Amino acid sequence: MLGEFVGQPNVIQRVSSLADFTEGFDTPLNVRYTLTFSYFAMELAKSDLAAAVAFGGLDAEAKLVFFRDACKGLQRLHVRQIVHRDPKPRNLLVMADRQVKIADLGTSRSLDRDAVPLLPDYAGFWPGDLRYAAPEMLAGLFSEAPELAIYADFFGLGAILFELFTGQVLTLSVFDGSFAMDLTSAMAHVPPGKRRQIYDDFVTQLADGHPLPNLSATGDGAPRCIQLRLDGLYSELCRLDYRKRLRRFESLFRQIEICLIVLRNEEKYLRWLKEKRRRRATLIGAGRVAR
Amino acid sequence: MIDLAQELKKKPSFVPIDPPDVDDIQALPVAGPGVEPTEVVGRFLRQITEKTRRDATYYSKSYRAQINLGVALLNKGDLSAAQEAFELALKLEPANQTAVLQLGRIYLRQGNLVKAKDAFASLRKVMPHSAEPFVGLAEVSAASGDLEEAQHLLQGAVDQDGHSLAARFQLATIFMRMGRTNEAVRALKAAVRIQPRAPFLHYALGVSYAIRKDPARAKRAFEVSLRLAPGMAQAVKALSKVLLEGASFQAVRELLAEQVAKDPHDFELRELLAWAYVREQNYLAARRQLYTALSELPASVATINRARIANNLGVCYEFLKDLKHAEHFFLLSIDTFAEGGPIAYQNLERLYLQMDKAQAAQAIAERCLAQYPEDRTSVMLGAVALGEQERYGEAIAQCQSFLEKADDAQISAVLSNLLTDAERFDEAIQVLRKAMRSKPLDRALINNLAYVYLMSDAIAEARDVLRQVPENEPAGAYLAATRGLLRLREGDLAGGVEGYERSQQIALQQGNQRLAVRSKQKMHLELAKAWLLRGNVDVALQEVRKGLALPLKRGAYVRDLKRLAARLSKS
Repeated sequence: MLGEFVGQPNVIQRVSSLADFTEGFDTPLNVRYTLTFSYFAMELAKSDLAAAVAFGGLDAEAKLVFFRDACKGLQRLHVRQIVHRDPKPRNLLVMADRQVKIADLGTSRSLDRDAVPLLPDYAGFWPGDLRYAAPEMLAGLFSEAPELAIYADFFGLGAILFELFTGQVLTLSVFDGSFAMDLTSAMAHVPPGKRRQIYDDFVTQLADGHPLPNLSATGDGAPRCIQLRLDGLYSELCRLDYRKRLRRFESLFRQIEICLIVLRNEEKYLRWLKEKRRRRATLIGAGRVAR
Repeated sequence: MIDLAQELKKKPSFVPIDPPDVDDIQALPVAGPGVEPTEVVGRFLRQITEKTRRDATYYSKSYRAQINLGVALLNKGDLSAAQEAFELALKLEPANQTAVLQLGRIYLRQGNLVKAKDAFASLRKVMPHSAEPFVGLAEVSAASGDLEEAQHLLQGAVDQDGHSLAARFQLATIFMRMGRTNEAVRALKAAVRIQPRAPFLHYALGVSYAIRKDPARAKRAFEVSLRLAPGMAQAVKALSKVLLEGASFQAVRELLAEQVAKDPHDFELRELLAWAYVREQNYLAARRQLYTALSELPASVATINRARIANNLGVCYEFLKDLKHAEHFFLLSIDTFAEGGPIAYQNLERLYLQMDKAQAAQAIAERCLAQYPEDRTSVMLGAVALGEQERYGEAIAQCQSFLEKADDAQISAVLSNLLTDAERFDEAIQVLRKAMRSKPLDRALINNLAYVYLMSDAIAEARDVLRQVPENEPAGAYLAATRGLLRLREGDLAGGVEGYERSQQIALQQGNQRLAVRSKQKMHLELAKAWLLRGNVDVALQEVRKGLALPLKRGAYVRDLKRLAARLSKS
């Protein structure tokens, strides 16, 4: 699958063609076995986003730029009708030039009707990391409605954004015992072919019963000037009801750019905001006088 | 004479299920409800924890990785491991607020209130504008019983952060515990404005309305929570309780039948469904639900629940006239949880008296009184059981020792019965006169006193006592019989028979066949005495035979009839 992305930024590159090597093994009975292994080399990354999250040290602007790179990488996959199915900080590599590249396409699959996924599922489970899986995937819709993996990739992006700014894994705050109980009790014994319909009927109540945490009130938080915007962005990406989830990259990039502009011009922005509030207060006061 | 043995033998009692209560509201679901995970859920939580643990091992010097591990372990319910993870996070980053907050919550759940208070207090210094430390401190105060302080702190939390759902929710529960339900409702309404689609808030609102005895609003709130979360078992149960109080049995049955199909192992659902059937007097269906609930009850369920279901099952069997099974389940209830309350004991005592097993009834009454020495019903039933064995001395002593501690009209009535049966009329009159000082218009006492006077041939006094009850007042079976006895003693045999027949009629109208038979037996006894007084031995003997031919074979009347028969046959 990596062959489709040769020369493209934000997706990890293969630096050698597929090659084999053979190795011999001696057994105690003096019988020699030879085994052939296939391999290829990947470009060398400096680190990954998981390490960056774990040890901090990134400023808000760097986090947003890294996040934008991750979104770009995923966009390149989606353009080719490929879903990653396991976006998480560990699969986002930071290169020496500070570019972030999406890696580990072992779980990804093409949404072409005839394409066979490398890992259709994993012993009945979602092939990706459960901590970054969207609830519809936890509900087992990945085999019945593979196209929903696009929505799930966006959920993963939201979870990454949350983690970048709070240091905490989002789903640990949402997918607790009661969430899992609600989900499993609703989806237990649902026959194949009916799962999506049942899930669609149930997901609103699931979302009502398990509100998302506030990004600004959790962990390290975000700078005040972009707190509300980031909260809104992550909440839109992580909506438990996939039908209401943000899934347009243009809108996503626009919001990231706005955040970056605000961050880079924080003082000016805060002055503008203060002025705006003052004017509004004056207008309201004038209205009162007129009345 | 009011025959309390009959009164007490009447109806077995169900042990009711508690109405919606503040204890039904445990915690904000976002803070972890402490549910018992199923196998699938347990596996899911384990996998998440393992992945997080791997990260924590890989980034062992990262406080963030340790905090994530702590949260995952908390979700899994492993408090001590979570505590270790948060403590390690604090070592790596001593000022980390999340770790302190989580540790505070863990200490609180472990009951270590001092450490929890320290944690939240230190957090309040570094997070002066956050509601979280205030909420934590309030929970500590509430856990140590200081509800005033908890309320004060939560009010502070709400002032700090008006959008804090946790603060408003906790404030509402504190108000409920303080009995200030109006304020609880106000706090919950404010919380609903913050998060209008949270089912647990509407559920809590329903509980507070139910406590406030406002079933219409409670019903509406539970219905909203069920619209938002149709599978919410707590809301289904609470709504069922409200509907049961409003006698909407069909609605309860429909609501519960669906939920029972979803979760057939939830014994509380089956119990509520059984209640709906009981209220409709469909004891067969109620018995089926209770039997299933009892047989499928997991071992982890508290024994008090098992005892309650066993007792209620016994009551259903008794109503279905299957006394053997009723006895079995009352005994099971008592043996399962002897401290489960006196109702099962009383039911079994009544059952044994009904089955003419006075000795067994007395033994159960003794067991009950060993657990609950102040249980007046068991004192009465025990005395009645002793009386039925003609052990009047012990029965009288039991009642007298209870009356030494407190005045009680019913016990006095039982005592006067026993004294009359033992033919100690003067003492019976004394007891009744004393009891009537505090309750001069008590119809049972008036009736008994008149009866004792008649038995001791003080006809004028009996007439005076009976005059206290107006003639136009609808008389009960006992009063009608006593009036009949007065007419007999006055020499008006036809009037006496009329009085007794009226008494039998009333008893039959009330469905108390046994009382009707007893009244008839007494009539024959008194007629025999009257004819004997007039020297007509043959008719007297006929009356005695008629009395002894009736299906009641025990008690003071049978004893007196037999004595009279022996006397007449000699003469």
